[in-house]
Amino acid sequence: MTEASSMSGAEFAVRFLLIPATIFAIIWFLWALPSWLRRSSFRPGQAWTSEPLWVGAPAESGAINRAALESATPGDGTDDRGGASARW
Amino acid sequence: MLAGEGLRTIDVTRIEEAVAREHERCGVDFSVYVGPLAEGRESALALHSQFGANAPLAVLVAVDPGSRATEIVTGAKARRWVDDRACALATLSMVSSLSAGDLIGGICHGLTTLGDQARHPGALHTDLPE
Repeated sequence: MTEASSMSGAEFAVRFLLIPATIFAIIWFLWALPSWLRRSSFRPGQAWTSEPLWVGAPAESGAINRAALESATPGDGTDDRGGASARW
Repeated sequence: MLAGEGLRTIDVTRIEEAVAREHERCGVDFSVYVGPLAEGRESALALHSQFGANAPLAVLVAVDPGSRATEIVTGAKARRWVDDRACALATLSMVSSLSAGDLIGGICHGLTTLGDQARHPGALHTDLPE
């Protein structure tokens, strides 16, 4: 009698289904983990309720000029600034 | 840096590192704002104006996650190295990540693209001949 034929159904399931599935799950987890860690806690589209973040702000200890931001005064009239806009 | 409680410390650190790295690579003063832009581009221009005397050399990358908008504003002198086409390219690279929900990745990709475009050779001969 061969070894395979003497194997019970439960032993077959463990050896050929459960163990490969576990190995696959471990590999998938290790593959997905870095992207989970990289992904920010904030999801675009959510309302931004916390303080704005400004890296490289004009005055490191200063506050964002909310009056200028809310009234949206772009500055002096001689505007030769450039850039681009996009929405997603 | 002004605090943003909507992001984790590690996220803020990644943005800070990207800003510092690109400044070192090309010498342009990059700045990243993440928060509401009530008036869209006008708000981004108003933020850029807060740089005062440094505004001509500053490049502001502003992202409003709530309204899914991103704005890049370049100062008059910074446009020499970061022209509008480079900014459009950067917004494209940002949008591809942002639309997938990767806020920090989108910002970092945008900065990298801007830095790539802004790289320029240093002036070797600045003295005028007698």
